[in-house]
Amino acid sequence: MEPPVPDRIEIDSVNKQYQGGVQALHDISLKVGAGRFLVLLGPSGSGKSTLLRCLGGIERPTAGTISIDGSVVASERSYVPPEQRDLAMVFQDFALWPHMTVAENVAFALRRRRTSKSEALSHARAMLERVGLHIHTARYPHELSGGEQQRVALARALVAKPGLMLFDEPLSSLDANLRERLRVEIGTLVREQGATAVYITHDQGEAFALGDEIGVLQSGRLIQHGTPEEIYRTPATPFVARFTGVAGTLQGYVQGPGPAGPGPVTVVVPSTDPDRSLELAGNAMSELRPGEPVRVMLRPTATRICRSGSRPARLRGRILDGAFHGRGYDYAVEIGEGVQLMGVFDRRRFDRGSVVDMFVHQGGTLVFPDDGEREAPSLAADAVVTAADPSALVWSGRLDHRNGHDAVVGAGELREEQ
Amino acid sequence: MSRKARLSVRAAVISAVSVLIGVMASVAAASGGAVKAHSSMPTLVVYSAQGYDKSVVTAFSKATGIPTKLDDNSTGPLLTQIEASKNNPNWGLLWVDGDTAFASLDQQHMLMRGFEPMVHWTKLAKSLLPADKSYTPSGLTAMAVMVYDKTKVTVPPTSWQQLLSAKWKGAVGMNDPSQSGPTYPFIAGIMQHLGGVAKGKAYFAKLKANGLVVNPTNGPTLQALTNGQIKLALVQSSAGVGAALGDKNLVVKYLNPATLLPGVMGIDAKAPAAVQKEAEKCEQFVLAKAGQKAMQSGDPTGDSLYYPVITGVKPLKGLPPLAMVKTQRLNPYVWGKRESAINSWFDTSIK
Amino acid sequence: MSFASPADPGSAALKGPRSRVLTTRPGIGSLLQAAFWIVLFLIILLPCLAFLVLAVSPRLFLQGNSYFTLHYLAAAFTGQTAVAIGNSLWVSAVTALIGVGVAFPVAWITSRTDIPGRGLITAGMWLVLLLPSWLPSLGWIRLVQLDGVMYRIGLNLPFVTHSILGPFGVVLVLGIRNVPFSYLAISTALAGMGQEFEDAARVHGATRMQSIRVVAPIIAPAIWSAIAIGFAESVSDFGVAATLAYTSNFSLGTYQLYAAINNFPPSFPTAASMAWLLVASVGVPLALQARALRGRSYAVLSGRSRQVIRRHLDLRARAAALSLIGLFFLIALGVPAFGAISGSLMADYGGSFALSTANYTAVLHSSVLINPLLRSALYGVITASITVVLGYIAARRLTQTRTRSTKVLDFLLLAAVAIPSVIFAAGYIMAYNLPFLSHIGINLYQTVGLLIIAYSASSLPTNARILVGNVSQLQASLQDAARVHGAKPLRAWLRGVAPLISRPLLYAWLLTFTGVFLELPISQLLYAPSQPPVSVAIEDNLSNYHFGIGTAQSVFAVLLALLVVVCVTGAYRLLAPRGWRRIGAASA
Repeated sequence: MEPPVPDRIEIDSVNKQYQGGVQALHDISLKVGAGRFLVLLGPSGSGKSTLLRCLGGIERPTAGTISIDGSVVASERSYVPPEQRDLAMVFQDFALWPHMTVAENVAFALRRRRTSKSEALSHARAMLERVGLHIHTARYPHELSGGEQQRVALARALVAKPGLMLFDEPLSSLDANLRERLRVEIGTLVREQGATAVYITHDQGEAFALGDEIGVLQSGRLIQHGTPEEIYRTPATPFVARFTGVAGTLQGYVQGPGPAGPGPVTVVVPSTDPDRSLELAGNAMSELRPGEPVRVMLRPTATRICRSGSRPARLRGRILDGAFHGRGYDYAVEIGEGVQLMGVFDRRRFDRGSVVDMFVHQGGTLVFPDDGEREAPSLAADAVVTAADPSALVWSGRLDHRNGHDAVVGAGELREEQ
Repeated sequence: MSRKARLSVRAAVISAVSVLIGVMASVAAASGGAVKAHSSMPTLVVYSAQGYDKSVVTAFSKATGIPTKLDDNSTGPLLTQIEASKNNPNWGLLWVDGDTAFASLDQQHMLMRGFEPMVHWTKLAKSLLPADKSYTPSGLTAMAVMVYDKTKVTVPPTSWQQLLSAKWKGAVGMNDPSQSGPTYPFIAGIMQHLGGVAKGKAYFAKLKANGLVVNPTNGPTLQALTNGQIKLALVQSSAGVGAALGDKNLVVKYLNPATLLPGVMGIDAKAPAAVQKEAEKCEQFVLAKAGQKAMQSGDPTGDSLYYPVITGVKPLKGLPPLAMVKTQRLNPYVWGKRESAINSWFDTSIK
Repeated sequence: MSFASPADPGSAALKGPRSRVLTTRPGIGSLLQAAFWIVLFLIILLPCLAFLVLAVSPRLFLQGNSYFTLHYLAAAFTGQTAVAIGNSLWVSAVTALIGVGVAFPVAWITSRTDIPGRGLITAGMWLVLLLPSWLPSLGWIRLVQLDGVMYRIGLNLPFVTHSILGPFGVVLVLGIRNVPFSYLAISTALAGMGQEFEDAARVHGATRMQSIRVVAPIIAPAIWSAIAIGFAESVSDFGVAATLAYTSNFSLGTYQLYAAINNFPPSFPTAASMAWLLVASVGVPLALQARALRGRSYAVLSGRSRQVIRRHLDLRARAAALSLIGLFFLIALGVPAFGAISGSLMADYGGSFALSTANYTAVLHSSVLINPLLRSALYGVITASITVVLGYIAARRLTQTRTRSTKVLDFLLLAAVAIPSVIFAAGYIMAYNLPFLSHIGINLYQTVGLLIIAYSASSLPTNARILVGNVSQLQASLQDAARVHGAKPLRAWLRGVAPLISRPLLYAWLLTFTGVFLELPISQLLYAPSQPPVSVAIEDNLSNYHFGIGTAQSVFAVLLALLVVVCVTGAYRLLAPRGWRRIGAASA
């Protein structure tokens, strides 16, 4: 457990309705401790931007209260304009004023500190030096690269040492390499200053890397709020699970005899052959009745390709594609017509079309009641591996799921990997 | 709206717009090509500022079969066109009020000389014929008549000098010569009557000191009279009489002397001979019975109120007889040259 | 780069399309570019120069005795002409600032707040723009002149009369006329400027007003361009000069220039000298603009389309804003409408408010009176269509990277805005009625063709200037995207570009249409005999004292123009694909 810290931000039953009736925020309540780094994660349209803008004072909630440092900044009766909230913000498209030099842009944020102009400029230069841009102070924003511009925006946000910093998808318009480096810089600089930060993104990688805590938003509602670990291990809804990384989804039902969960549970996943079905041990996210239809979501870490001597295989599939990234490969494995597992990691190289056996960890197997949202295609009969089947082998032949389980063709050549 | 309904609305709008454009195109074509039937004869282009020009030109074209086109504009733009296009003129016959402009064109050798229609001129008209026969009077108006409202003015002034009295302070209105063609002859006429440019200038300066109101043209001056801004309007006779025909309270009086302002026709010296011949026919037509009839019916409350220049044609009813008035003639060759200078003096000193 | 081998016709045919694009595209491009410059030279530069050269060389077109003299230019700096030009310059400067000063807050309110009736405000601005300037002028005169409507209804306010019939009134009317130009330029710029620039200022400590101050310079290019065009429009205006300014004895340059031409014999060299001064004067705002914007970039458009978040106005703010904007429209539209309508209902020389519909009936029943209306409508349709194409091309050129040729084009177009249209018309006579043209059988003067070309040339500069704002927001990639996906250039333009600027093009078309429809000076000097446009017909009636008919005709003309505006915008709503209509809706 984290040590208890005083709450710096308190959001209480905040609603926001736009003209025209669009409800952007539904009853959001949230507390953030001082010095904490909160990441709001959600797809576009989830309301995360609106929530951030309400915090910044750029927008006013239609109902509910927002307090910063114990004083109410927005409620039905009162509203503190953004310039009086002592915060700073980094924008997605940088929002650097094109007619001001880099130094002027940064120095602007010091106006509320009532520093003299020359003092402000020298502070600004110091801050720019901190982000590695001191040689560009006299230039105009359009003369800088995208990454440099975002550094200027970061310097502008940091220079006045505000108690609260807001980040509106600051990295989304940068390329991957730059994104990673700037993300580290943001994390370091913000923590160095001890500021509280609220950061919105739709990128779960960014969220897990930066956040002390993560809030997941969907359609204007806060679905879950917790540490990255909590979010990953016990997602509140299939949506949260999906948004934080799922390799594949299967449909099944709870195996008897009595009610189970939350916690360990056994589910049965039927295949195209009524006589062959997959039994899986998973983690139920809520209480389940025996026989209740469920949705099984596999984290990418849940499935591994078998080696000789490893745990017994449960699934057999055909490699569709593999993406090499230095340490190994992320594979897409087909386990039924239209059923795929994404991001199955292995260090070994398999050719496309190779048939592999996989085992499944209980920890990464998330079991939710079936929301009936859409029906997942069925598992292929020969993707189910039982004790009677040969295991831990890689088949270099072709697997044809359409013709039943004896359709492994050209399987004469067996290759055992180490 | 359903998709189908929307489509049919679309179709309707498209067809309506195309029909509209078609109609406009055919109207433009029809009005342009009305007299194209006689393609063997060249087209006579008449530049005219007269209110009756449309009916006269139509009647002429109908009577003779000569294809005719009319550039119907105010005198100013017509003369601008003629001056700007003088190295390659497009006009055949020019017909506007005031012989000073014609004298000036004649001095620039822009008018065909030596043609005089075969008509019986009145005595007054004869005095207006130029020696080189470079232009032809078609009718007479006088500049200026005094118009007043008899319900408001019971004892009108009887001489030009009386206009300077305190009784008429702020009550006299006239036109601006730089906007109104017939007004320069009026100013020049006063100058001639008083014995020279300097004396005339002094007179207008006194008139200004007495609150002279200058409006652009006859129309606004008469409006200033009817809406009570002034009590005495000094305007062209045709305009004044026309106004009096429409408003029974208005009275038209002449002050002595009235300056004669002929309506004048002239033929382009550079026009092809065939066109010049057509223009001669046109002048002849204008001064014949049919032409006079068209002139007198074309603009009965305006320019048709002229004094005929040929014997046997009576002026329209409502025109005060010219015989009771002392009239004077300006020598256009003398006064034409002074026009520009006097107009700018008026613009800077009187207006 | 060419892989096509001419030896084998079969393979050439196969490879043809690709290699043709690669090898001949620059050829066609530069050919089109050359054609564009030739057209500009022929329809704007040549006629203007033909006239302007008279200032120093009157004899060239038989307008004087000397082949070279500075007499006329020197004379323009003296006496009444100097006073008039001085008046024109200060009035234009002040009205340009008024235009921006009024338009900026209105544009801000309509593009950044949820004020109701935003569409109406924009439509109203277009309406103000579409009215010829003499109309509000006459409306004011009728209203405030001694014994005018104001006095007849019992308001005895001589100080109002004195201030309206004087420099104040002239500045007021011309200033109002400049508002729509600025409004369009600024609201386009605001639409392109993301909300986040203000947000950034707010969260870093600026109050609402301060944040406007911070971001206002971002749209400096639009503001400067609005000032420049406002200045040029006022300098060349004749409608107010000949009505309100004339009545007030307040002499403006264009009026003096007209007087020089209208006098007999006309002094073209004097008019040309004054035109030189007016044209040269637009160099001042252009130079200021260049100085102010030098070395900075104002490109704030990223490819992302941003949702504009409108600030909610509370009831009080809303009422205040609406009543101020309402006041503006009352002055800008109410007065001229009142003037024209009250005038047309009065019988000729009617001294009282005796209303009469006889004049309207007469117009409707006489083909002589109604044909000019239809004829001018047709001229307007043709001219507007030509001008919008040329204006779009010019705007494209203006928004490309600054080279010497775009700078020349920029000055040329703005200078052309500043040229009074009578100069255009007289220049057309000089340039296109040369004897040698007649010798080779080309007789253009007093033909419908030349009239329409002159109309197009005189409306092109304003048209291009209005389109620049929207065209500058287009990204080249849009058209390229269509091209690389296999569309031919025209199709690529229609698919990739036209949807984005269809609305501004539509408005530019309407602006040209209404401008041409009621245009007087060019019509007077260039119209084809026997085919008078409506303005000439109206002027003819007015000058022959048929005021009722003339005014009724002008009311019909304005109504017809409005009808066309309504029909065309309505047809656009019905016919244009949905996506076309959505895009640009915020800005136009």
